[in-house]
Amino acid sequence: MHKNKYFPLLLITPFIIFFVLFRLLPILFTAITSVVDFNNADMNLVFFDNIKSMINDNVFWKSIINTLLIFIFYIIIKFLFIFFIANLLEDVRRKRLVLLFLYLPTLVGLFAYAIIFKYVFTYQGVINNFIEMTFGFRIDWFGSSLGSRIMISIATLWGSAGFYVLIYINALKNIPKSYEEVLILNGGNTIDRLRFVQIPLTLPVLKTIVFLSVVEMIALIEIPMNLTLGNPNQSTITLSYYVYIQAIQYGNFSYAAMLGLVIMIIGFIFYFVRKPKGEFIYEVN
Amino acid sequence: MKKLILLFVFAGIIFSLSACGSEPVDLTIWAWNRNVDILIDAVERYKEEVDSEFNATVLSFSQGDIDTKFMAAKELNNPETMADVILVDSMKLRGYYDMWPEIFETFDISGDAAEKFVSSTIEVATINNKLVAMPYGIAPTYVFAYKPLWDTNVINDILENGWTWDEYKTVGLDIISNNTDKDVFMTAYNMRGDDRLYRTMTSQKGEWFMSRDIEVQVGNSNSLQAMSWVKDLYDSGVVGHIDTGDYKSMMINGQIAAQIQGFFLGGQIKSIGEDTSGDWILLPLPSWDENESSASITGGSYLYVNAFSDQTKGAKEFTEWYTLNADALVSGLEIGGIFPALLDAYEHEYFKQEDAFFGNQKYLEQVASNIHEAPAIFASKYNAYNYNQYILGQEDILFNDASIQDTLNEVKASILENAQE
Repeated sequence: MHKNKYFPLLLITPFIIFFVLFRLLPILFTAITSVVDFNNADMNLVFFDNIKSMINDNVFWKSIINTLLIFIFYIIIKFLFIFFIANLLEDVRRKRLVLLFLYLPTLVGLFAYAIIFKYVFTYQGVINNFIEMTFGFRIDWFGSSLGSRIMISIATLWGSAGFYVLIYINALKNIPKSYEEVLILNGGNTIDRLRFVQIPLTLPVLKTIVFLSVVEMIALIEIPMNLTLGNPNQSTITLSYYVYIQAIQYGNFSYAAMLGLVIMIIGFIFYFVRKPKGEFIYEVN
Repeated sequence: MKKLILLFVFAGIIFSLSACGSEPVDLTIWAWNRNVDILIDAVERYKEEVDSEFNATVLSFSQGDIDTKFMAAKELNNPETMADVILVDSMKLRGYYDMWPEIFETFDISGDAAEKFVSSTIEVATINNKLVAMPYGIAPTYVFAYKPLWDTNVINDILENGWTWDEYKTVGLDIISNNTDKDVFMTAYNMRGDDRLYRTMTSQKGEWFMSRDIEVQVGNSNSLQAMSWVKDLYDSGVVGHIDTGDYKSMMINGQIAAQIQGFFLGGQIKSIGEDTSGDWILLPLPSWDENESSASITGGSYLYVNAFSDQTKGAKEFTEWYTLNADALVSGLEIGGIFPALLDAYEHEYFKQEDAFFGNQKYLEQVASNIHEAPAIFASKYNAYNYNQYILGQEDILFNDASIQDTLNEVKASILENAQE
């Protein structure tokens, strides 16, 4: 064994270099850019201008509301889905095979499946055919604010569902069988099982899933960009998408950096809300 | 001895200078989609015909990636990270120049050489009396008509006498009522996005969002008329809305009678709709008035040279050679369907060929016939914002029945406010 006290430091040096170069410096640069407009190396202090623009920018506030609403739909659909699938898979023999199928979309590029979803959710598409057969009406997914936000939530979930189901199934494995046996002996049904056993005993994992979903939503850009282009009536412009629009489409780097900083602050707030008692964030088993 | 040393030093300097001078040109070119293969072909031709030592790597990026690289390099004032020769869309060229003029190497094409191009392309690329990029391809807008849905006499009449936007609606309603067995539209787009109709109509008047001098054109009389036509065509069912924007599938299913689209569509429907070969014909665009030209160019591709490149001379020589070489451009048309901006190219035999897919029509000749009449449209650095505002406005007009005049005025006010910030 190496007894040199600096040896462990040497081992983590690659990580530190990577962290400083590709994490810390970009954050610092974003922070600087948000207060200074470089404009081809001519530096102008624009901190208050950016703050003022942000306060008066309707699209920015709209993007926050859009992101929040998409997150709410996303989290509801996600939990319904993972509870349903995880309990369904309990009795399935070829569980691993089913999980593999569920996990496959995670490996497909976001751009590719956003295009697929475009055709699936079109007014004449498969989803609407099914809805019409079952309920007798069609939904204008691309033409209504509510429809397009739900569509984005579903598309996002489709890409990550396998990952979350996997996390949740692993958490369920740690619940002692005796708890469920007691519930069955007392005549408990599936809802009781969820309510009194599964949810309370997997709460830390569920909280982690919520936190990871917040991170996903904050970074949500590819799907609205490819599926709806922010339409209809800017109702699917998310926070990150708006940063892209400002930076790349409009060339307002400084303002975009300020928006990026706001996103980072929102992320930090969620992190601290999530982690009030110093518990470790990734308790996934 | 002193003389001998001086002689050696002198010889050394001469040797190094000559070595520098003869160093072969090795460029990096950035382009997207079909342009990549076209430019690779151009590089090969340049090697064969001009300089066997010449070398260039054509890198394929998405247009969005190139935009990102430009913006990042501009923000960091880091032009060395950009390629030597870069493809740019006509809708972005002037905006990019406004944002970062220093990166644009200028060209000394004037007089006869400048007249070799479709005039509007030179107008777009000339800023402060300097040509900042070389025109390479243009996107003339035409009507791709599906003959089985049409009465042949109507087609012949349009080919002979042209038609107006009012007649386009009348003809459209007739076609729809004669084909009630299938969902037919005259033309179809995602009307919540860029439908091209408004853009095509206003481009025929040399207008879009802003003039060359950054005066807002949205909301003026031409803008109002164009948007009124779009609204009328949409409300009457002549123009259809497709939420996926996939009009091409509808075209090859025989559900679109007369799609208004850029020249590039010809190549695309050929590749996906082989079974419909012979059923198509290219018609001129409707015009505003019987006596007016219907010619419209709604886009174009330009090549600019990075002024900070250490091979500016070689990059300029290659770019000028290619954009002024009719054979190379026609080869590009064959490979990737980019319509040349060089008038000489239209004299090429390739333009006189009949095309079986278009019912043996000499469709290239047809497109080239009036393209020189197309006025220039200008896109400023505010274009992306203006464009987003127009889309919002049109969405409100078409889907929420908002007042056309009021909405266009709001769009105009928003565009003005953004430009003044």
